[in-house]
Amino acid sequence: MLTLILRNILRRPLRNGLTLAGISVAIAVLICVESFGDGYRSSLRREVEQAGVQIMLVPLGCPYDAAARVLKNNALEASLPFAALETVRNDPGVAVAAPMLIAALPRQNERRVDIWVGLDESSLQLRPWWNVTSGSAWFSSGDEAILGADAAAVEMRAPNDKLSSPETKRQFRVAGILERSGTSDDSAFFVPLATAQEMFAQTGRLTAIAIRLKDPTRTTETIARLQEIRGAQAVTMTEMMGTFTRLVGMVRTWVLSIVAIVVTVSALTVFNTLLAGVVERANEFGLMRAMGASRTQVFGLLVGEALLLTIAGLGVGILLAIVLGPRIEALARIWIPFAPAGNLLAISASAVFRGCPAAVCAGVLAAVYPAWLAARMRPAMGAKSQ
Amino acid sequence: MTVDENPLRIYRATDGRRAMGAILVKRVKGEHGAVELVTGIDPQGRVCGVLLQSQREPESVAQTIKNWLPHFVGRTARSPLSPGDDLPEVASEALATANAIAEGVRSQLTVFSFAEDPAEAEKPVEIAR
Repeated sequence: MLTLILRNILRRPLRNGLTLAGISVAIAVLICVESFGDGYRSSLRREVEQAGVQIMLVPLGCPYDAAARVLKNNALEASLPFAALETVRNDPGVAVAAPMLIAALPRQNERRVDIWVGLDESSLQLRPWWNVTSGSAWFSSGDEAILGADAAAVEMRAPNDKLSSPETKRQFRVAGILERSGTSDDSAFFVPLATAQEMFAQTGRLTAIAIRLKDPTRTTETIARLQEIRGAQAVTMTEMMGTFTRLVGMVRTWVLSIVAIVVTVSALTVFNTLLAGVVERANEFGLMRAMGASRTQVFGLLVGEALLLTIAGLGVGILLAIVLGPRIEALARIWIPFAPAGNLLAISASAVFRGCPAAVCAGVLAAVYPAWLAARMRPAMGAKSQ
Repeated sequence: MTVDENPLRIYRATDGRRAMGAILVKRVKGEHGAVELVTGIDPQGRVCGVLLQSQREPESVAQTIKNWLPHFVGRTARSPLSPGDDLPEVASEALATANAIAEGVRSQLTVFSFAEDPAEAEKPVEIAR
């Protein structure tokens, strides 16, 4: 039976090849969409967990936007008064409060933006990835800078080299170069908090305060107290992650509905191919029936052809998803605000298993009517052709 | 360009089928940050002009270097390309960056001459000291 199915498929290479291509593309898109959801969730969770921050105190405005910007080392338009830090540190529920000032310096000629981050030593407790590949891990004076791995590579800097910020007319000595962390810190320039405040004329102001709690089960009470700070609002990382995951989930649902159309079109292609085959091979099926083949055997032959095409399409589709996945991810990143640094489109076995049954079912369902027609061919059709 | 590479890029300029020269782009290590050089070279291997596409030198150094760059015009891979020799001296605060730029232009010219005529490029060059 399998030999017969294979021979039938190979007899019409162009038509079946095009059908196979349609199925493969539909399956590749389905797997990519499934993988994207998984990849986004796990990358975002890893980035938030890596930060070791439970609450972010940000200036009034959209709290999720502000927290996400701070997490990605993006500057905010508003700022917090320095007095807020004292209040946060005095809160009984707060274990670590790390102030930061983030400023973006656009470099017009190079079409990029330098991100300068001012920190104090408490930030080290919330940045477990803060390890240097060379030089020292903290500043010994206000005129020193520590560079993220990418920033150092772009500027060709090593410890003890000079580094200038022409826009703010400041010069620094490079104290150390950070190990690559896979976070937005990789492309940042770090300076002491007071230096950053002076550089960007923000004396006494902060962009945000990252907070770790003594007891995370007391988050609600602590947030209630922190919300009383004038001009500030507290947002938990869990809330922020949930909001972003929900937003991406909505987009994913919308994309999945498009994918459903693609899969339907590819199932219709299989239907069309098989139906055309049944019309062309009417005499052949009649002859098979005349020679003693049962209706079930003829039905099985057609369903088998559809199944084989779908399984071959599945294999090619998985390969396409693996090959094209990284390119699709690079394109998608341009449109995703605050995309986490990790792999957004990791093709996982679970995504493949979730996508496959739907594709196989669509392929087999598309074969039912043509197979039923073929099985109903009368043996006389075969005799007529002879 | 990714951060892990510092390629030397060559863009050939043509007028129809006639070669007009090439534009080479390379990053070098300046005193206060990376400097991205853009050098125009004519078909005879002579520098037509050098521009800095990106740099983060302090204002005074940046101005000194800007005034000094036109002296590269007409230089070839066989020129010494050394401040105080065939190129004018620069202020000491700009010397490290000037040397890095001269080295960068030299490597661009060498690559260009090798790409144009490998046999000629392999001949030893005598540099007057």
